Amino acid sequence: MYRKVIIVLILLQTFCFAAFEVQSINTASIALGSITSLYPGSLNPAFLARPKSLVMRVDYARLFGLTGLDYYQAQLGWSSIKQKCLGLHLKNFGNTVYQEKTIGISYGQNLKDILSLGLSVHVYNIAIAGYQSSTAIGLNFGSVWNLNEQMQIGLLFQNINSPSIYKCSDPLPECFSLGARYAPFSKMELCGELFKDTEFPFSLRVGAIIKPFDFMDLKFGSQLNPDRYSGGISIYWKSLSADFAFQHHQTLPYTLYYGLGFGF
Amino acid sequence: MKARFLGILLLCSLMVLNGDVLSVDALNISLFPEDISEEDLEIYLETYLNNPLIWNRCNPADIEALPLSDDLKEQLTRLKHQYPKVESWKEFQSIAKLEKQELTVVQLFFILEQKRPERDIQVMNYTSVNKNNSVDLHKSLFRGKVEMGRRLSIGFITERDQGERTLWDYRNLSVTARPFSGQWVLGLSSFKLDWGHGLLFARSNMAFKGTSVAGNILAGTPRFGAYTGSEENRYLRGAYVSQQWKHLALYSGVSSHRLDATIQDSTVQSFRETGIHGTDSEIAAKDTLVENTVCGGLVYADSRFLGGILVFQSRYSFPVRDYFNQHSQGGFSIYQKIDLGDWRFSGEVAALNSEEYALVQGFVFQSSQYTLGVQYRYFSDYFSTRLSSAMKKFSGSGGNERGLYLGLQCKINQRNRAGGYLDFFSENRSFEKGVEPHRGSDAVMYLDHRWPARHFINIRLKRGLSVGSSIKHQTTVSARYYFQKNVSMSFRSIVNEINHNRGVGTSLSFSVSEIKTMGMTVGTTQFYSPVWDTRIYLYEPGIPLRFNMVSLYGTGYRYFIIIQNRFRNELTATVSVKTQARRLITESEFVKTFLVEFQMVVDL
Repeated sequence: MYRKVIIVLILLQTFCFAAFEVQSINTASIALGSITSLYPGSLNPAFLARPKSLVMRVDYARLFGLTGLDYYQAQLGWSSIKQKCLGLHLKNFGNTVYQEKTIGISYGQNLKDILSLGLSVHVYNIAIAGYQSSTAIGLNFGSVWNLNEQMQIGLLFQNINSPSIYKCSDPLPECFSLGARYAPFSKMELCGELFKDTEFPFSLRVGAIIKPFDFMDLKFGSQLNPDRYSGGISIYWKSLSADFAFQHHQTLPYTLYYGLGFGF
Repeated sequence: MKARFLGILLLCSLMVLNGDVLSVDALNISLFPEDISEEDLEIYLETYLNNPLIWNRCNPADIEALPLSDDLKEQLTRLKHQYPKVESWKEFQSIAKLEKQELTVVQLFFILEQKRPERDIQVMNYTSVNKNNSVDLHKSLFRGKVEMGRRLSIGFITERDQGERTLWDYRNLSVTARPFSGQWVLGLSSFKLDWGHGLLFARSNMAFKGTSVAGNILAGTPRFGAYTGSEENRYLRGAYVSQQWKHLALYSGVSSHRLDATIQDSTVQSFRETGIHGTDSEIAAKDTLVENTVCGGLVYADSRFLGGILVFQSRYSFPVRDYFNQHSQGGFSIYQKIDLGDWRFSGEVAALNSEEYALVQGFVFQSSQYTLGVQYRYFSDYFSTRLSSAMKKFSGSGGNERGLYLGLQCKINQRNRAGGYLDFFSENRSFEKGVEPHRGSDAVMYLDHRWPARHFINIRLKRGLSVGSSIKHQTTVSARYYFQKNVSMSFRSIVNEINHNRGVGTSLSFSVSEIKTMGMTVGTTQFYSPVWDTRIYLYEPGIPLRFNMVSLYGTGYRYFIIIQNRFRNELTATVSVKTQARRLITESEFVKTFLVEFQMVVDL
């Protein structure tokens, strides 16, 4: 068991991410090319659920199908009739040797149905066996601009306070996202996003949603830097939604994502 | 030329913020000179955006410093004399006999002391992506202002430049409060102080040498203003309070500000003002110097006389080379403005504790047809303050300058105006052995002609002479022709000539506005500049609130398209795509680059 974990950790460093670099495993976002600034449940705290509703959601992924690289995420969102939204989310990644935990709380406010602004506070905790754990607090600021019923623009700044773990030795990712959603037809949506992590090259992401039936969404996406594609399906039944997504990697196996949502 | 269009662009953006689509004919396109830095102009124009004048309290000199057309300024000045206080915009429009478009322009620069909406929110986002060697995020800027009645106003800005490692590398906040019913104003966080001719702090008149004679020579009303500009160092941070009585006004402020500076051997070698923090040395210089400043001033004003005195003291965490390796700098300023009808006098004298001093004094004669002005300036050899923005020829730290500005504006008739200025300048002394002090003169002439159908042409000639060096000639032509009310063609061209080398830049663009809620501009720029000295600075149409200055050197061409649309009457989105192919004269291959910009402005 421990040998597997060590192999996983080596792979993680070779192919994958810095600490807390995977900030969301929202299945719907992943299927659309990892777009982070659009759609409720994404990282953008300004995206509000429909008024006077309570939404719960859980997501799970095992990165590249490798044992020990398990992500769990749970989200709870409440939207008032006065167009204010409060959210809570918990995320856990890792295993007994290496573990990342994130707890977040968010608040969003809609202004005249044109602009929404939101702020979220995240507490990041990292624990590595044999080492002292480290905690940092990060702030995300988001906005959503409703141009009309067909078009929305989302803007997200992640970790605007430049947090770092282990006494400033490891800065957490600071990312900028500018996304646009366009729904030319009732059964189709297009979206795109400019994504920039200040330490990495600029990334362009595009996605599409096709709605062949009222109870089903098909999602496709791709991104540059790193170059990869993704897809997924969402099934709706009454207040329940079940989501599945896959994401390609140029070297490692696909990652599968599963999500379950409940709103009332 | 560049600054003219810079002004137009900003004012177009102001119009966007104000929620109306306007022509720019009410603005003075010949007002801005070529040699102003875009930062200076941005600060100057943003000042009005963030701190509009209060009509009931401003004076005619404040109006003359505005970048408006001469006709409109004349109307407003006349109105100010006849109706110093106005209660509502409806009344304003009827007594001033302004057209709707003109009123909208005026509303950008003035506010009335009437009941204001309970809450007003303006938010702007700007993002650009460019390709030089690779495609990358070029700039990200987020700015907003929230006003809660007249009592409280909060402004903020965040910005990241290309290559910076921090997402909100620059962030700033300003708070303005009027906690009491009187004329007390309290400001917190970022602010700037306009005082006199800008010998110590920012100027309260035109922030650059231009063709507006009264705007250059006469000082406006001193004031503190909220600062949410994108210039990352040239402001104060702390708190201020101002109080206005009938004839007296009191200004006082304290500031503690971390500045970018190059520090070697525990001495500040220079202040760094680029605002870029990408390389290791730039990051190392960021916020390295602490400046603590306290200042206070008193102003007396009546209908004919305005005079004020200001004292300040700044202390630095390291000695500053330009301040004689001292930790501190202090000084005072006295300025005056006297109004004797057609004749008006304005000047300022400032002295520092290092016994350095500066003096500016001028007068303006104004009749219905002519405006004539003269201003003398003197800066002793080492006169230098960090926030000074006085009108000078030689930039950089240190004073070491004297000069004489002579300006003339003539209203030939309703359709034609002419004018210009002649500015003689000289260093007091040379700091290099065997080299005589630099001296020379700038001469500018312009002619504006307007047709009844709003077409116009503006021709401007400039000659720059530095004794012992080459003469530089510059010819600028700018024109616009309206095919229909909403369809126009704009042409602008600059020719620079020095040492028989000639650089040419020409831009042609077509604009269509008011296609429902959309407007579009397409155009091209062609340029040829064989040597660096003949390079062209040209402002192209572009995204509102951004300054689209291009420095053109070598040869090549550019294409641009700008599309703007208004959504839900309160949100304006603009996309601009600009491509360029350029090569040096000695090269055979063009280097192709592009810039894509996107901006949204919402006014709720």
